[in-house]
Amino acid sequence: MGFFPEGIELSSILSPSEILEEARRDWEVNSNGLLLLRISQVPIESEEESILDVYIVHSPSKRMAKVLSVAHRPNQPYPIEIRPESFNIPKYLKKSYEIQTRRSPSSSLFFSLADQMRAIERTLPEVTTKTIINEWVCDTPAEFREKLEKAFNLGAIKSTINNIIAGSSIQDDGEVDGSDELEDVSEMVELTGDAPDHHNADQE
Amino acid sequence: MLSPATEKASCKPADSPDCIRILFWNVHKNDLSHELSLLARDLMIDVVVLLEYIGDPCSILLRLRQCADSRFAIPDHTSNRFLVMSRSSFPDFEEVFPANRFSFRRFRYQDEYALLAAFHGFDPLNYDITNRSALAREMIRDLRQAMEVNQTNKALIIGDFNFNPYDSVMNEVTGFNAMMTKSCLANSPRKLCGQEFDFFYNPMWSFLGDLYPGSSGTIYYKNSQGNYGWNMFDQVLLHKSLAHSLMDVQIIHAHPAIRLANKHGRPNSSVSDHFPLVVSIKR
Repeated sequence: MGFFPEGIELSSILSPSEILEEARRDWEVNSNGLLLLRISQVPIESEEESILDVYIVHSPSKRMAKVLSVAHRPNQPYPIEIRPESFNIPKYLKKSYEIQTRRSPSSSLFFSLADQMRAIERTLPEVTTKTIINEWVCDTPAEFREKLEKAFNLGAIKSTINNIIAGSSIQDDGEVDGSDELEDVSEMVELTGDAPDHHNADQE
Repeated sequence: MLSPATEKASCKPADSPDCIRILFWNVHKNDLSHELSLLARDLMIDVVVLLEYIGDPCSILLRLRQCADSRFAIPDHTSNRFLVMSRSSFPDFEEVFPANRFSFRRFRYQDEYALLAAFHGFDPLNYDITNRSALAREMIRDLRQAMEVNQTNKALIIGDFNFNPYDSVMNEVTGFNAMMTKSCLANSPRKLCGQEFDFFYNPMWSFLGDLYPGSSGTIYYKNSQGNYGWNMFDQVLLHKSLAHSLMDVQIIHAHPAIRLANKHGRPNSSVSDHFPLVVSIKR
């Protein structure tokens, strides 16, 4: 190993916009112009974030959907995070998902209040440090290229492609309800394994 | 055309065959297919946009066809938060942009396409202002993209915004960029980072307060976010290119056969906690 950092290919360093432009051309060629990628720079609103939105457009019908966004610091394109749209696909349509549950101690096994308190203390979850891995953060253009390919191959994006071409209901995007209105969901105990975005709070 | 002094009190629409009437209603998870059919028939509604509906859409459509107009149909769509029914001929009001909290529909308008955006904002009880505003900005950003793709600047947004007209994101340049009066739209578009943002017109400002008869809002609700009581959460916004096509906006708070309001004049929650909204634009 030398002093020069591994994984830096000077000849292939491109900005996220340039890589997305390459993706756009790739989609146009491979779909014979049927599916176009549309990339839009979001006006910068914060000093921390610069966002590019990526849409797919079915060119004959002009039906479209946003499939992902990429975010980085203004004027510093790397590291960059890919944020795929979740589309709120219900669990029964997901190939895999995770549920986190919290086990409550059962008080019926204990007799005195002191016994119960000691038992509860023993069963309280310990405070631990959990490492959060953000699989969509890319430090280099090569990583961005690799994960962008992966993002475009997500099942949700493939479903979206089929939906905008078909133009009628194939994918059920979940509950009809929107029934959050004036209801308190703060006591939800089931947490999904989805990427954290505001849509996931919408699993009322 | 909009005159709160005369229009707020009435549920009778301007009787013109030259307008498209759109009814939006958050039906609060109640089966209101009967009530909806009566409103559609009596108000000569062309397009229905329902939110928080329950039951089989086909049953609701059937009722609408039987009572109001047999031409009503459900246009193509892939998302299902909103139930849109139209009596305009196919393929009008098909969905061209599905999303979790909004849906963009395309329709023929005069000699070009226009977009109807149905929007359901996050509610203030369960979401903080940051997330609520972020969703609104995302929606308007996506709508501007859809307008470019469909080569039109004719767009209207209707829905349960869960914002009042005076909330900041309604007016911010990267939000809805919506102004209170038509004359405000005459100004040059706002600019940010070299990009121009066209104005929208928000006619709902005209309904606030109680100096004129009629309802002062579409939902009555006091919460920790503020104690105004009346809220104008259900709104319609028109892109400046459509502002002068607006013929009428009505908050429907009374109907001879439907008890839309309780004894205080507030929405009767056994029907819905929201009043319906009817918008008429020139054909």
